[in-house]
Amino acid sequence: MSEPTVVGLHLCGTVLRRAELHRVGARTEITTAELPLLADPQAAVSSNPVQAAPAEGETTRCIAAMPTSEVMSRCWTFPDADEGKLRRMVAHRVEADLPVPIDQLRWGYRKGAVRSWGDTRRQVFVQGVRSEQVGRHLAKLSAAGFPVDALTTEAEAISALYQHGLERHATEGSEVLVLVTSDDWLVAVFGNGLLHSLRRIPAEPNRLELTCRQCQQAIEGQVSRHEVRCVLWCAPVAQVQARGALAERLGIAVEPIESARHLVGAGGTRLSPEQLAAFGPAIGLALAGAYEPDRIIRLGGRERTEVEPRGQRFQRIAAHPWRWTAAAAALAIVAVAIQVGALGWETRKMRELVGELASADSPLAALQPKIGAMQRLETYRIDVEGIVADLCRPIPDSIVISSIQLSRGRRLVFKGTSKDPKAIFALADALRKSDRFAAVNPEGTEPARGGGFTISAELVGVNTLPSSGRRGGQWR
Amino acid sequence: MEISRRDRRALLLGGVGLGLIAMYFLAIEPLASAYAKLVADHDRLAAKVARRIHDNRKAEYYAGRLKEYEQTAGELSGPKPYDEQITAVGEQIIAAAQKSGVQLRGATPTAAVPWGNDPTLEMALFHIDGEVRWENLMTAGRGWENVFKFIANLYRIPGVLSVERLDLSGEQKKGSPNDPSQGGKIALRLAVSVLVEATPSREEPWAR
Repeated sequence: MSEPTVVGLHLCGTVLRRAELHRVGARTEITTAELPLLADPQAAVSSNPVQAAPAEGETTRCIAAMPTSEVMSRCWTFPDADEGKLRRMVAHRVEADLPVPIDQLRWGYRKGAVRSWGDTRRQVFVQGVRSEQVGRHLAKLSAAGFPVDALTTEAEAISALYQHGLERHATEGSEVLVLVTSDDWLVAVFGNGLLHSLRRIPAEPNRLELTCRQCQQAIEGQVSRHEVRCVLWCAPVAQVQARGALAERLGIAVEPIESARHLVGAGGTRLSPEQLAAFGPAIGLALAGAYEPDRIIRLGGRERTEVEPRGQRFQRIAAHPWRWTAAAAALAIVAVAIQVGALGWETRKMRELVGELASADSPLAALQPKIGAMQRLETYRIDVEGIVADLCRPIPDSIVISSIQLSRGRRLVFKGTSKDPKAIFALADALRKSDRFAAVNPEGTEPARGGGFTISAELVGVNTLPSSGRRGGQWR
Repeated sequence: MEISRRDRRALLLGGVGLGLIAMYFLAIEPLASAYAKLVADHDRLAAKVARRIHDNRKAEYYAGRLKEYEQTAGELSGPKPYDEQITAVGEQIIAAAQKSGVQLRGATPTAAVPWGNDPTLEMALFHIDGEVRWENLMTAGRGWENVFKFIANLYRIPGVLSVERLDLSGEQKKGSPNDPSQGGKIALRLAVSVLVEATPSREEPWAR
């Protein structure tokens, strides 16, 4: 899938500077053009290489910038926090500090690196524009035939140029970037990679001293001179004298800077200093759109519409029905082969296992006589000791047992003597409450003849033996 | 000879039909039969293996239970032929009586009768007569204790199923009928069931 083409549009008075960026492998091709912004929008459309309404499926994105003069910029320090909390803190500060009600503002911010000053803090560069000015600017570009996908600020453009478009070494500390054209100087002050201020200084002919002084003021308004590590100078070759004058005024090295090696012009050549100075903001906008589309301060623009990938995927699948049918048939054949193979293999293994088991004696068959004996004992054995123990437990001292008779088929009968006739009935009641005896009956008492008595009961839980009658012959 | 377009179409359809029939009988039907046979074999063998695994687990479970049971009830064994079993049980009844302090008067086996649940088994009874004596109150409790020790020892004899009838009667010495301190005895009559192996000679003649 090809990379989208990004077009940066920078409005400079009545001139629109355009930079088209296209990534080819590791290289980034830049095509620049300067267009007069005509009063008649239709004329502008006809001369505009960027289509007013891009054709369906076209992958061109337009990034434009608000003029610096209409943008309010602040650089604040906040305690480091997560994205939602930081956004709320910035919103409160914007509402308090900017002279426009927040509901009439379009604003955004860019986070700097986290620094530790006792506690963890983060510098944030905030920019805001009146909503009506955003609308007006978008309408102006739209009327001229330039549909803008994202409207941001010149500061974002210069930041992106500084980060991705220049051949420089990443360093800590403050740096100043000066883009010089015949009309004006664009002075950007960076601190630890974050843009702190951007100022456009008009370059009046024959008043170089004044321009240099204004430049100095713009820099010293942000950082003291000795904190500036170097000034990066990007200007046409003819401006050598200006470079010398600025260096002399600031007392700091003013180093010429070139475009990054991966940025090439239409013919594959490196961008010239003139081109970089004039089209720097436009190139920066294109770079911002290409490298930081989700991080740039977005003040307005067309809603992002993305083709639903799932729909595309389905269309791709539906485009080759025979191929998919063949794949499904192949899968079905593979599945059948696996099923049949697995069944055959399992059957073979189980046959081997059954053969091995058949040759060995079954452990259950060896235990079967003992198991049968145990089950018979559990079913038919009478627990004589338990029965007599349960019988003797409730017998009081006044009763003497003289005989006990029990049998599987018949009842339990016991005889004895008691000095207390009531104790006999109390014993019968106590036996009735036991789980082992049922139908407990005192069958006879003889208080006059030594207190003799007889009590009978049925035994609970004693199974009768299976019928022992011979029913036919045995199978041998 | 020229073939009309209609004939050609009829021949084509007939050829396709014959081809389909041949394909069914030569390819599809044999393959389907072979697959059905394979599945049936697989199911039969799987059932056999599952049954064997189940048997092994059951055997493990019963082995544990038998071990526990034999610790309390004595050694378990399968039934033996009548002569062998009666001899062994009779010998061990005498030993049990001696060990328990019971004076054995007699132990008489009866003929075996069929065991209703299992045609390979028969049941015989041993009628046991005995007595336990005590001399004074101190040894009166030991008399009862000996009776139950005897029954417990009977239950540890391999082949003995259960006590079928029990008749215990205490007798004091003459002249002191209600005074156990003067000594006495417990008369013991038992019927004990013993399981034996059914012998072919015991089959009913008309059952052959």
